[in-house]
Parts: sequence; structure tokens; C-alpha cells
Amino acid sequence: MRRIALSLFSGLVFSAVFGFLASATPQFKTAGGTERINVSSYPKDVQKDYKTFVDKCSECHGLTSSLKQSFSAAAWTEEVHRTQSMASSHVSDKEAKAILVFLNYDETHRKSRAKLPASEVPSKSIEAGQKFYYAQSCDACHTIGGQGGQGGPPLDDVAERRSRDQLLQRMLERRAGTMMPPLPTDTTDQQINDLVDFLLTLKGR
Amino acid sequence: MHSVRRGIKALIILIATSWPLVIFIPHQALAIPQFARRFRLNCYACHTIPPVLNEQGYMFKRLGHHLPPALEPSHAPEQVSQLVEKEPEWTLANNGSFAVADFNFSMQRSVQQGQSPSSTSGFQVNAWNAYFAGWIPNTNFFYYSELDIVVGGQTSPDMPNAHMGYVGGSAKSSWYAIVGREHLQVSEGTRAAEVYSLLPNSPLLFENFGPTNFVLDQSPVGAEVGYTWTSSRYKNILGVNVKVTNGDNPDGSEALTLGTSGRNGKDIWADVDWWYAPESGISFVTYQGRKTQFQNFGLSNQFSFYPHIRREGVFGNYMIRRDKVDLLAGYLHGNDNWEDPVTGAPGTYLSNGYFTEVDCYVRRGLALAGRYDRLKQDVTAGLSPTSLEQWQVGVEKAFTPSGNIVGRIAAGNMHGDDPVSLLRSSTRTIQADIQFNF
Repeated sequence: MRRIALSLFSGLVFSAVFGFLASATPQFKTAGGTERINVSSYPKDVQKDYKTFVDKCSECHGLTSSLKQSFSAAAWTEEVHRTQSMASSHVSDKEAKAILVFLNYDETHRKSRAKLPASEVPSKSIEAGQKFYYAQSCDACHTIGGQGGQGGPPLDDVAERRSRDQLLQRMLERRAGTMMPPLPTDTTDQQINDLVDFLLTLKGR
Repeated sequence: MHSVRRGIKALIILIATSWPLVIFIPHQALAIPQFARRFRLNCYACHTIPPVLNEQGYMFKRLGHHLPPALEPSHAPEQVSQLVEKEPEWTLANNGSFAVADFNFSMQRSVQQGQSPSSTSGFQVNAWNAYFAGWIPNTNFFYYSELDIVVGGQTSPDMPNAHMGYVGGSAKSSWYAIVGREHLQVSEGTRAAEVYSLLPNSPLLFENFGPTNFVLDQSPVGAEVGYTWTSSRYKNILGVNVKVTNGDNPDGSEALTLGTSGRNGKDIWADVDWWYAPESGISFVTYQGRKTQFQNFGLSNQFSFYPHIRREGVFGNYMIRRDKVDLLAGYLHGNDNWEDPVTGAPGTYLSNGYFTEVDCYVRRGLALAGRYDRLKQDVTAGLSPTSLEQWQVGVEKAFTPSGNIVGRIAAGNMHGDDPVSLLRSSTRTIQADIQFNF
């Protein structure tokens, strides 16, 4: 009986010491690659390419940096070729091509609009943009939360459908000659920025 | 209800009473977590499944613990000094791992001719190691030390690795020199020669407990030099290295610290490796040494002699379909001086070991393995050549996406005849273990 108690006691002591050391040791910060994105709205082929990207890239590292960093198509090509030249990369030319297709699609359809998250936009800018929105009577044609006119598309989820760059471009062009009335000619860049900041808060939630 | 209680009680008693049992498990390497931590990589960056190294892990080691860079045909290869400059900030967490442990449950049944069968089973802390290894900032020097706190269930602090090295050249053509204490066998060569495949180390391969009682599970003090050449994109890697060590005394102690056990020669270990992507390779290994050995150790008729000990082997693997199925095979020849334990008459001990294994990677972090080894032995004073055979099957699974917690279950059987006494014996083993690498 004494032997059993001694064994159990030594087991508990060891487990406690080991557990403490294990918990005190810094973990792998990006290991695991748990960061994933929802690609259900992407074309089927790109969804397959995304799977190749996840399978291959998460072998060695987490995907956080690849899913957050923004590069040009040329820079992504260089990066993937560089990865292919690493030891044990196991990325064939076909797989590299698939990874590049996904990265470039993701770059133009998701990352560009996420470049400036709403949380980083000063609330003053959003407030000013909201005032400008109503001052220009945008609500005459667009609805937000069911309030507004029906001449243009609802804007409840415009931040999900358009990137910041796309919205900026649209506002800067002021849509001369389209159905949307042009903004006043003395509209400043700051006002347009504020308006876009406000629109980017509309995520349909 | 009564039977459940009885089962639980039996399990508690089994675990509790088996705690102090010492079951011999050969020295095995675990993964070195601080390397992964340093570069924020998964274990799979350098291991197929820890602790089996892949090409990147092999190159990492040979570049003095620096991550091998991309080798593009159109770019000049980076110098090692450039790799040093790119290293992250030196921190204790990037250079040390203090909780690398292996918990093991083993059941063994041995049957020896002329004796009653015996069975043992037990749970034990099989290994608890701490590693301090990394690079000296802004220099080409690197260091590697391993403190074994628990080995085979016994708390016996030992430092089988404690060496320092210098690496020079470029990622394409590099060389290194190491001095200090270094384990003779751990993780040398290509995948097959590493011995540490997915199944536990087989005693038939290097750790021959045969008539000369000679094992390569030693950590003598010595010096090593090596050269590595790689082609673009690491499609081909050629590695050559030679170690000269002072050897161990016959009682297992370090030759430098104890000089009472007779003469000691120098041990020489040479290794030529060729890797070809993806992950296939072939290694030639040779060990030549001379040292005092005991015959009939611990008995009244104990005597010592001074044999030549020679091992030559070739090991290769072929990876089919990029990390799906790995075929491994090896051959190791032994030719030692030998003296008869009864008459002391000089003779020869010859051995031929054959080793085959198939590793099947079902998916990342899950692998199945089967292994068969055969050792043919012949001693001058023996009546006839004998053979030992061993098979093992097992499954290995990683429990975390990064691969730093790995579980393994294996079953095996070893049977054969002793080359001197010709007594037949067999041992069946079932073991399960789980490795934590923090």
C-alpha cells in the first residue's frame, strides 16, 4: 500500500512540475495555422486553389501572415517561387500556380477592402462621413436600415460588397454621366475619405 | 458493477506499482521545440513527424542551426554570415526548451529456453529532456546541449550532447566543425540512416547487445568536421562528415574522466549522405574503433581484451508520391575481434543486419508504419550461425496542428538464438507513448 501511495505521489509531483514547465514555456505563436477565411462566395475553382494553399502552406507555418499581408501579383509570384526553392517545400509547379490564383483572387476581392479596418478609422471621420452622406441627400436614392429612397441599391452591406479602393474610386469619379448625381465640385478629398469611412461601417449586421 | 470496480482497482494498482519499474528503452531523440519557436514554424517544417528529420531539418542542422534559405537558380546563394544577420533577436525562449518529455506504457512478455516465461508491464516517464541550443548572435558559432533528466523511467541527469561548432561557406556549399561531447548515433544521415523512423529504435540495428556487448549508444568527447553541397532548390544534397572521438570506457564512463578501466583507442565515425528531392536518400556509414572490452562482465571469470570493432552500413529510402509512402531499407555489417568467454581463445564476431520498413503517411500528422529487421550473427567459437528477427507495426499521430504533441502505439515481436549459448528466446512487446515538446 505504501508503495502504491509513493508511486502515485511521485507521479503527481512529476506531473505538477512538468505541467508548470510546459505552461511556462512560450508557445508557437503562429504554429497551427488556425487562421482561415470563408471562401464560400469565391468561384469553385478558386475554392479548390484555396485548399491547395491551406494544405501546402500550413505544413510549415501558420497562414495568418499570408492571409493578412497584401502584395502585388508580381510580388506574390516571387514569394511563391521563393517558397518553391526552399528545402522540403514540396510545392510542385501545378500547386504553385493554384496557390497564386487563390492569392491574387483573394488580394483583389477581400484584402483590398480590408486594408483599413473600421476599428482603425477615427470615429470623427465616420461621423463626418455620415453627416456628409445625409447633407448630399444620398438617402434620397439609397436605403440604410430600410430608411431612404429606392432609386439606388441599398447600402446596408456595401462594405461587404465593395473594397475601400473601389468606393474611393467611385466617389472620386463622382459618377459624372451616370445615374448617380455628381458630388459638388468643391468636395474635398477629406470629405470623400470621410464618406468612404462611413460607408465601410455598413457591413449588413 | 463489481467487475468495473475490480477493473479500475487493477488499473490503479498496475499504474501505481509499475511506476518504479525500469524498462530498457533505447536512447531516442525528441524534437527540439525552440527551433520551431524561433522561426514561428510548425514542427513539420523540419520533421516528417517528429523526430524524423526531413531535408530541411537535415540542412538546418548542417548550417549551424540556421534556416536554409531559398536556393533559386537565378540568385546567388546566401553566405552563412548573411543568414546570421537575418536571425531574430536572441532570447532564452528561442534557445531553450525545458519540457520535452515522453510518457510510456509498455507490456512485455519474454520467453527464454529453459526458463519460465516472464511478463512485465508498466507506465513510466520514459524521457524528460531539456535542450539549450542555438546560435551566438552576430557570429557563425552555434551550440547544442541536451540534458537528460529522466531516461528510461530513471531519474539520472546526464548530458549526452554538449558541443560547440562553427559553420562557414554559403547555403550552397558549407562546412562545419564541432568539438565537445556528442552522441555517436542520433539523427545522422538520411532518413533511413537516422534509425529513428516512426517506430521505436530497433536493438537489432545498431544497439547490438550480442557477444561483444558493444553499443553505439555512447556520447564521447571528440571533434567532427563536415561538408555539405546542395543543388538549386535542394534537389540534390551531398553531405560528408567524420567524427573522431575518445570513446567510452568499457564500464560506460567517459574516457576523459576516468582512466582506470584499461586502454582506450580512438573511435572514428564517417558518414556520406546523398538526398534527392523529395525526401529520398542514401547513406553510407562506417564506424571503426578500438577499445578495452570486458567479457563475462561481473562474473568471477571476467576478463578484458582489446578488440577492433568495425561497422559498415548502407541505408536508403525512397519516398513515393511526395510524403505519402516511404520505403526504407538498410544493411549493416559488423566485424569485431572476439575472445571466447570460456577459453579466451581469439576469434571473430561477424554480423549482418538487414532492415526494412514502410511508412505510410495517411495525412499530415498521421502515419502507419511496419518494420522488419533480421540480424545474422556468427562467432568463431559458436556452433553455427544464428539469427534474430524482429517485426513491429505501429501508428503515430500528432495531436496538435503544429505537431508538438505526438502519440504512438506499437506492437512487436523479437525472437531468435543467442550466437554463443544457442539458447532461443522471444519477446513480445506492446507499447504506447506520448511525447510532449515544449
